[in-house]
Amino acid sequence: MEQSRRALPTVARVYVALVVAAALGWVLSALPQVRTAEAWSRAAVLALLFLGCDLVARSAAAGDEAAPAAHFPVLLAGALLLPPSAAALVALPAALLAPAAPPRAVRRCWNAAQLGLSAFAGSCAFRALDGHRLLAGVHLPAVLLPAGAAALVFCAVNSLLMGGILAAAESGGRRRNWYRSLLRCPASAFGHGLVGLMMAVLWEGPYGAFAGVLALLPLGVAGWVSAQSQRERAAHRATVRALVQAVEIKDGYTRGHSERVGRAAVLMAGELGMGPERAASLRVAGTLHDVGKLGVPTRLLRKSGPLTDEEYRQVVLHPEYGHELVRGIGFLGEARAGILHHHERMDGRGYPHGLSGTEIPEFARVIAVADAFDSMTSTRSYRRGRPVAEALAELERCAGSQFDPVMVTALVRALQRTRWQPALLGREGEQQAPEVPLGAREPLPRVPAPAGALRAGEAAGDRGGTGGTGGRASAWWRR
Amino acid sequence: MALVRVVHALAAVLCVGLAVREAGWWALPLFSPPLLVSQLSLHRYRAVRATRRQTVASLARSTEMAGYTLPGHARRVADLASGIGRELGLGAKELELLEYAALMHDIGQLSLVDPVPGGATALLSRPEQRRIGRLGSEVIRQTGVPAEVAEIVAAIPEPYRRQDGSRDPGLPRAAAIIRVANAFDDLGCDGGGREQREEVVEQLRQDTAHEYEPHAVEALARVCLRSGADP
Repeated sequence: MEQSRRALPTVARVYVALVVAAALGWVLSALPQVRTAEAWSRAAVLALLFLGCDLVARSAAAGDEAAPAAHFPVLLAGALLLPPSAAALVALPAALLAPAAPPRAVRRCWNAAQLGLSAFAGSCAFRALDGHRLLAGVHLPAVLLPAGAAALVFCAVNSLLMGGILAAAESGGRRRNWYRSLLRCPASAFGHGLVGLMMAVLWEGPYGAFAGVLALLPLGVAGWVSAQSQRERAAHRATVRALVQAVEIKDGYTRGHSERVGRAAVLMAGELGMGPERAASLRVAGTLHDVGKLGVPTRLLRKSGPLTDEEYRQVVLHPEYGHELVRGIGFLGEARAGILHHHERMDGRGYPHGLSGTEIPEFARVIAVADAFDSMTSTRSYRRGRPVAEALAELERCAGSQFDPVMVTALVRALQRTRWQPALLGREGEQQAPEVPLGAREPLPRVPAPAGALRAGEAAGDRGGTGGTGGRASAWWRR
Repeated sequence: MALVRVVHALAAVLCVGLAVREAGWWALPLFSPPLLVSQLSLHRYRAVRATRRQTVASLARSTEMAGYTLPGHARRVADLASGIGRELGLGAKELELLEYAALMHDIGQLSLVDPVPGGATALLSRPEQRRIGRLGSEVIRQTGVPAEVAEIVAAIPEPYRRQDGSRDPGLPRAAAIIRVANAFDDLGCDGGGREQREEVVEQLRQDTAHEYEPHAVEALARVCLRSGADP
């Protein structure tokens, strides 16, 4: 407890005290104006509703940070239906009863004051524009203006107060999130405002509170569902990790490689100006690019000598196995192509299909670079990782023949901004890893092959090319 | 899930209807969008759920692609185990865990350098089976399926009664079911007809003193010998 008290700086405490005092002052001074029993009963029903929504949202979001905005429409409906000081009380029971992180009392008071002030301001704005009279007469288009103003004021006051506490109590990343929440203010005001207005309109109708609560049902369902979706998404990411883990059970040399390739690919996506959706898809593709190794016999993956023709033929099948394995996963789309073609080369001498230049899907060109980069920079038990600068130089040397120069440039630029953390050296690896001579390897002689017909020939050619540099050392080239 | 969608749609229609009665046709364009958006989020949720199921299925197929299990083994064991589970009256939640565990019960085999012939883990030595179960459960712990699934997979190699005849109270029922289903598929899946299935069931019945849970074996017999249809 002592420690958590210290966790909240004095500035934040003073700020909270000020906000609470302001809320108490305004609400209490205006309270005597609320005279009708109807207003009080409405306030009580809305407060119960808000409490219920809060509990549902918390249980649905279990563990994750609860989406606090899911039940704002209830507060907004309160701001439209009630005089300001009664509207401010709607959030009170939920804020005081809800579980909070320590220091508990401070946080609870803060929540009550902050939500109360927002609702108070919203209700004031609504009344100032004569909204309560328009609402009682249900002049629908006319009531939109005051309702919109109320919603906007509500969200703005809420964001500003939150911004204040974040600035006072937090640091770094969470502060920046606040600017974003302020920018989103009009949009969320619009959405919450419409639902709040619908609630208020139905409430004013002949069915009263019952109809008002009904308006909340679809929204409640949607809130619950989106919390579930978030959980499912997290579970999906975990399943992808498990697939990677399954590959790593078979192929100990690549520990962590898949995740790092995914990370590097996302860095490059930022430089290439890809949207967040595609970047996410690319991360999955990068992470799963070697999943097809599940189809390659473990004996071959762990073999330390050079591979025979027959063995090599099996190893180069792994992109196709991967493509096949993720077939069922609907959303992957573009990512699947990235997995299938990540061993293609710009000059058309790669596998499995021997595509060249821009025939190779963009994802595959990104992954090829990220894959080679991470393989070169990470230390494996049979060789030491190369420094980042050297690996980039090697990539630039092979740009045009093996790699897409655009992608290499993207990686170089991305790494100027972000520090790259190469594979952590294994404890025993640190001592044992031999220095590998950095003889620049030429692109391997390979028969350009349409489709799978000439795979055997390619394979032989590749092996001939790498044979000189000796067994394992050249493995990153093939993997 | 379908029920949730229907309730949601009904409530939405009722809301908009009441609002139109109350406030005129202005209510329709104003209040429909939020409701449509929330209906969309239901739709998205279904898609996300389907995606995860597919990824889990891919993970299950991985052993088959690696040549460790026969094609369709994971799917067949999952179907059989679900059948047995239903026969034994397991609840919906237990059945879901059972299905996940059955789909992924062979993941640990990926650690073997050479595949077991025919993927028949039922014929391996117990320590080897345990090692496979343990490694598999480590992978499964990462998948975000409930932790019970990993526990079930780790417990599959355990016999139903210990050497001294006592029962381990901590052994999950699902593990005993999957053990039976897996053994059945390992022993009898080479395309045999009803006769061969009867033979395999008989073989499992011989082992119900220690190895296989008798109720699960009887349920298996009912499931796979029912009207001679393929399990």
